[in-house]
Amino acid sequence: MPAANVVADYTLGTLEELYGSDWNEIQDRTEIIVAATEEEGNMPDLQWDEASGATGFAGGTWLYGEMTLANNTTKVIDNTSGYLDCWADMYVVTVANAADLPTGGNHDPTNNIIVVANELWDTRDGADPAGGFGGGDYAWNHSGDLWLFADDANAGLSARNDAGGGAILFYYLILMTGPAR
Amino acid sequence: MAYINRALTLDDDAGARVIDGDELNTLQSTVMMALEADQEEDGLPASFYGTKTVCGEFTLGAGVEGLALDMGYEYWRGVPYDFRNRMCTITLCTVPAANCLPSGANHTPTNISATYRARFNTRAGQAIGGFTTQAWNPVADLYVYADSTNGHLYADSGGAGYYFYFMATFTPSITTAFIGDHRQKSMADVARVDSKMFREYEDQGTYLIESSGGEEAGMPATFIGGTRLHGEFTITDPGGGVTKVIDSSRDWREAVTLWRFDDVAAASELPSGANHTPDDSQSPNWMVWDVQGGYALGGGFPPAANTPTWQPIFGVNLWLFVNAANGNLVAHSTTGGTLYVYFDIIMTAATA
Repeated sequence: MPAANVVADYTLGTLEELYGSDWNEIQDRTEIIVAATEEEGNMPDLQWDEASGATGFAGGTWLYGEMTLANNTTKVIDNTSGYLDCWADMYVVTVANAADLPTGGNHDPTNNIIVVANELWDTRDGADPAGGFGGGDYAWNHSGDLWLFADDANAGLSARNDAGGGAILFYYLILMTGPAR
Repeated sequence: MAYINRALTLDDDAGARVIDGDELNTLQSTVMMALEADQEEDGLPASFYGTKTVCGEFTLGAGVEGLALDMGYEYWRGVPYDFRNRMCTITLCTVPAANCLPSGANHTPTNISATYRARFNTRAGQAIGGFTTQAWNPVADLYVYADSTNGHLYADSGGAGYYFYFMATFTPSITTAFIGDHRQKSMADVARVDSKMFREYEDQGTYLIESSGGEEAGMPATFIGGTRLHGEFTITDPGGGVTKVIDSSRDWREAVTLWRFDDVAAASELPSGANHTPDDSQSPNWMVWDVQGGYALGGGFPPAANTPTWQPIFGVNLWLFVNAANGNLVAHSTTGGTLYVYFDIIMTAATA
C-alpha cells in the first residue's frame, strides 16, 4: 500500500504503547461513516454513543472485484460478513470480453464499456434467487439481466445472471455500511 | 450487529490493554484515508484530510423549510460539526411514498423514483428558506444546504414534498483549518490508547478490501486499504497539447480507481472560486477503472483503443491516466483551450 497511508509504522508482534498523538493523526485521516443526527427512519442506535457502546449504522467497507457470471447462475461476491439490512452504494461496470476486465489486456474505460451504473439502496432482509427476481425483490437490476442482492439464505452479497444468454462480465466497487437495523 | 468493517476484533470486555504493533498496522493497512491531492492548486489548508460520511432518510413536507438533516451533534466530542465550507460528495434518492424509504416495507431498488449525484462546496451556506444558489437543487422543489448561521445541514421544499434518503461525504473545511473535527475522541499527545477505544474506532471507519467470494482474477492478498483524494485544477493547452500532474504523492500504477469528475465554465466556478454554486457542474461523471501499468506520454493523443486512459467528457480531448514512467496521476489536454476541473478519487492499493 502507499506509504502515505501509514501514520506510524509499529513493530510487528510487539506490545507497544500507542501515543495519543499518533492515534489523533489516524483519526484525522480516516474516513468515517455515521447516520445523520436527525435521521428519521426508525433505525435504532444510529448515533455513536461512547457510554453505551451502541454503534448502529456506523462504519462501512468498500469491496472491489471482477466477475464472469454464466447465464442462470448465482455467485457470491463477498461472504466475510452478513449484508442484510445494509445500505449499499454500488458502482458496476459491464464489459463484453474478458480482456476488457481490469486484469485484462484491453481494459479501457473510454471504449470498452457496455453499461456503467450506480445506485444507493438498502439490502433489507435479502432476496432469494430461486425462480428469478421481479420488481418487488430486494435486488438491484442494473442492466436488464444482472442482479445484485444480499442472499436471504446466508446473508452473503451475491450476483445473479438471468439474461437468458451467455456470460456477463463485470467489475464493481461497492460500499456496504454496517447494518441499519 | 455484524461488525463487517473491523480489521480485527479485540476483547475490550476483558479490560483495556496496550495495542499490539501489528494490530495497529492492520488497522492502518485496511482503512481508507482521505487526503488532498499534492498538486492541488488552490491552497487548501494543511488540515485538509479525513472525511465524514453521513446518511439517513427523511420526509420533507410540501412547503416545509428548514428540515434538519444533521445538526452536527457528536456526543463523544461535545463539539458541534459545522457543514459550511466543505466539499460534499452526495448521492440522493427520491421515492414515491414513505414506505419506499429504506426502512419501509416497500423499499426496493425498483421503487426508487430518481437518483441524483453532485459534488460541491457548501460555502457559507444560505439562510433557511433563502433558496439561493448556495443550496443544491437536485430536483424541482428540493434544496439541500448548510445553514449560514449555525452550520447545520438542512433541506427546504419550494413547493412539493419529498421522501428521500442520501449518503454524503464531507471533507474538512476548505477555508478554515479545523483539526480533527470528525475525530471519535481527541487524545492528549502522550495518552495511552486502549483496546476499547481502538475497537470502537474500527467500527466507525471505512475500509477497502478485495471481495471474498466470486472475485476471480487472482488479485493479491495485499489488495487492501485505499486513499481518497480531493482537488481541483485548471489545464490550459496553448496548442500542441499539455500534460499536467494531478498527484505525485504516491505511485498510482496498478491501482483500481473510482473517479467522480466535474468541470465548470470558469475558474470562479471551481469549488474555491467566488462564484461556485452546487449546480455549476457541466459534466458530472464517474467511472470505475484499473489504471493498470499506466500509459506512456509518448504514446500519442488521442490514445489508441484498448489503452488504460479515460476521457471523462464526451467529445472533449482531455484524458486522465497514470504516467507509465513514474506512476504520477496526470491529465493531458489537446483541446487548444482551458478546462476547469475538480474531482474526488478513491484509489486502492496496487493490485499487481
